[in-house]
Amino acid sequence: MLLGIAALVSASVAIGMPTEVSGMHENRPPYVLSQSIDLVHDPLALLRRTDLAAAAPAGSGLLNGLASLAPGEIPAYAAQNASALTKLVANPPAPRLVTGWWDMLPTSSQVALTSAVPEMVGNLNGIPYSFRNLANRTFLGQTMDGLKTQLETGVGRSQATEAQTRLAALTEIEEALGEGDARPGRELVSLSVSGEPTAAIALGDLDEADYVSYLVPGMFFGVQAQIGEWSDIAARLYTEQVSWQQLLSEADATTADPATTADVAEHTEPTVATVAWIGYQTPHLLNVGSLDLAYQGRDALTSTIEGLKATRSGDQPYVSILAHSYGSTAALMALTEKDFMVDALALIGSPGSPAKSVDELHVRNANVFVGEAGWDPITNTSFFGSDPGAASYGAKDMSVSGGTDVITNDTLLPSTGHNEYFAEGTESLRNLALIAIDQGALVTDGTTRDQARTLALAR
Amino acid sequence: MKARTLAGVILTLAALSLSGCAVGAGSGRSAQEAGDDFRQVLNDTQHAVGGEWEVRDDPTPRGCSIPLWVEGERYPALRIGTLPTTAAQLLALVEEYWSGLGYAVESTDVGEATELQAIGEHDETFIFRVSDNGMTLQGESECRPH
Repeated sequence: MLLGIAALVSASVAIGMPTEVSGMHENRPPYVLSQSIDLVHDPLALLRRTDLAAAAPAGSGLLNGLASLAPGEIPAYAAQNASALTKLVANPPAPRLVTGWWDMLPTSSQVALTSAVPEMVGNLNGIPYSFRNLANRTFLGQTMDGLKTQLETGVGRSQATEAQTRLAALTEIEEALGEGDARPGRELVSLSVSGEPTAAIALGDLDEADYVSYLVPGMFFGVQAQIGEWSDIAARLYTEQVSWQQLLSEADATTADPATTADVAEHTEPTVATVAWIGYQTPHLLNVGSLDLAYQGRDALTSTIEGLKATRSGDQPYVSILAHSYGSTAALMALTEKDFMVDALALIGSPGSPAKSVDELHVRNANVFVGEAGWDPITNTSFFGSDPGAASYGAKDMSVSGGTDVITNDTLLPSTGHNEYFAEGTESLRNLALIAIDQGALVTDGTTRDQARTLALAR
Repeated sequence: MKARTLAGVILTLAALSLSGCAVGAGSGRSAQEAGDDFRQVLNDTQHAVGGEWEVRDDPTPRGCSIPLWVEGERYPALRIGTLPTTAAQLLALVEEYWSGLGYAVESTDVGEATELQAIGEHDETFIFRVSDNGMTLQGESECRPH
C-alpha cells in the first residue's frame, strides 16, 4: 500500500500534475462537515462549493475547499492558504470528521494533498497512517533541506543556533526511523516542528495491526534527546509481544494441526504495532509541578487515539496505553475527562491524577495495571491526586521486581528507581508486553498467585 | 597535584581491569561486525535445522549500554519456521551445534514447546524454541560501541 502511494506521489510530482481523477470512494461513511453541506444526501455538494476556497477558509471550511478542487489546483491553493493550513493543523477538526472527509476524496486528490500539503496530511488524526507516514517523511525531508539551506546561506547567530538545534532534532527522528528495510516497518505518524518538536514513530502497521500500544513518556522526554531511545523501547516491546504470541502459539499443541500450521500462521497470526509517542511537550524540573503540560498531553493523546479509532472504524484493534510518570497523569486525565475508551492501561512510576478509582477511567473491564519500582521517588506520592497503586484505587498490581518467569523460567531483571521500567530483560517489559496483547492473566503481581499463572490462563 | 591525578587514573584503570570492566572489553569487533557474526550463527543454525523460515531480522540496531555507561548498539533477529522433522530431533541438533560453539545452553519446557537459550562469550543471546506447532529463532548480537 505504502509503495503504491509513494509511486503515485512520485509520478504526480515527476510530471508536475496529479494523476487522473478517479471515481469517488464507494461505501463512504455518512458524515456532515458543516451544517450547510449535507454529504449524506448530496455527495457532490462540496464540489459545487468553490466559494469556500475564496473566502479565507478555516477548519472544516478549509477541508471543504481542498475537497472542491481538482487535484491539479491543490498546490496553488495550499500555497495561497499556507497560514490557514498551519492553523488547521494546530486546531484540527474531530478525527471522525477528518476520516469522513478523507474517505470521500478520490485517490488522485489524496495523493495530490499528500504531496502538496504534507504537514497537514501527516498530522491530521483521522487520515490513514500509510498516507501520514509518507507525508511526514516528505515534510521531514523538506524541513531539513530548508534548515540546511538556511545555514549554508548564512543567517544571524541566534537564527543559526535555532536552526542547528532544530536540525539536530530532526536528524534524530530521521535516524530513529531506521533502515529503509526495517522489520517491522517504521512509520512517522506525526511530526510537528513548530516550537519544541513532537513526533510519533509506529513500529508495525497501524492501519492493519490487531494490537496497538502507545508508549506515553513523562518528564524530560524531548524528541532530540529521546526519540531514538523511545523507538528502541518500542522495538523491544514489539519483539517481546511477537515473541510471546509465538510462544503461546507454539506451546499450545491442542489447537493446531501441525500439518497445516504454516498455512494457518500465514493468514491468522495476530499482528501488533507499538508507537513511540512523543506527542506533547513533556515537563522539566521547573514546570513539572504544574498540570499545564498534562492538559496538552491529555488532548494530544485523545486526538491520537480517536484518530486510530476513526481510521479503523470497521476493524477496531485492541488498544493499550503504556504510560510512564507525568505521561501517566496525562493519560489518566484523558481517560477520565474525554469520551473514548481503550482496552488496557498500564501506569508505571505514576504520580497519580484526580481520578479516585479505576471505575472513573474509560478502560474496558477496568483493565488497569500499576507498576511501582523500588526506590522510585515518584510512586506513592499522589502528587497530582490519588495514587493508582493504592489498594482502594482498584487497579491490578504489575510486578517489576524481577525474578524467574513463571512460564518460561527465564531470568527477569528488576527495575529500580524511576527510569528502568522499559529496560531490556526486565519483568516490567515482559508484563507490559503481555498487557498490550490482552494476556493480562499472565501478568505477574509478585504474590503467591503467580505460581498459578500457567499457560492454561492464556487467551 | 598532577602526580596525584595521574595516580588516581592509574588506580581506576587497574580496578576496572580487575573487575572486567576495562575500556575496550568485549570482542573488539565493530557493532556491524558483531551483528554479521551473530546472524551468521543464526544462518548456520537455520541451515542445520532445515525447514522453511520467515526471516524478520530488523536491520536497525538497538541501543544498549556497555559497562562504564558507554552507549552501544546491538542487532536483533527474529525468525519463524515450520518443522521439517520432529521437535526432539531438532532440539538435539541445535543443542549440539551451539554447545560446539562453546555456548552455555539451557533448556526449558514451556507447555508443549521447548526453549533452548544460549549465551555467547560476549553476551550475544540466542533462543531456539520448538514444538509441533512451529519454531522460533531469535536473539541479539553483542553490544558494541556506536
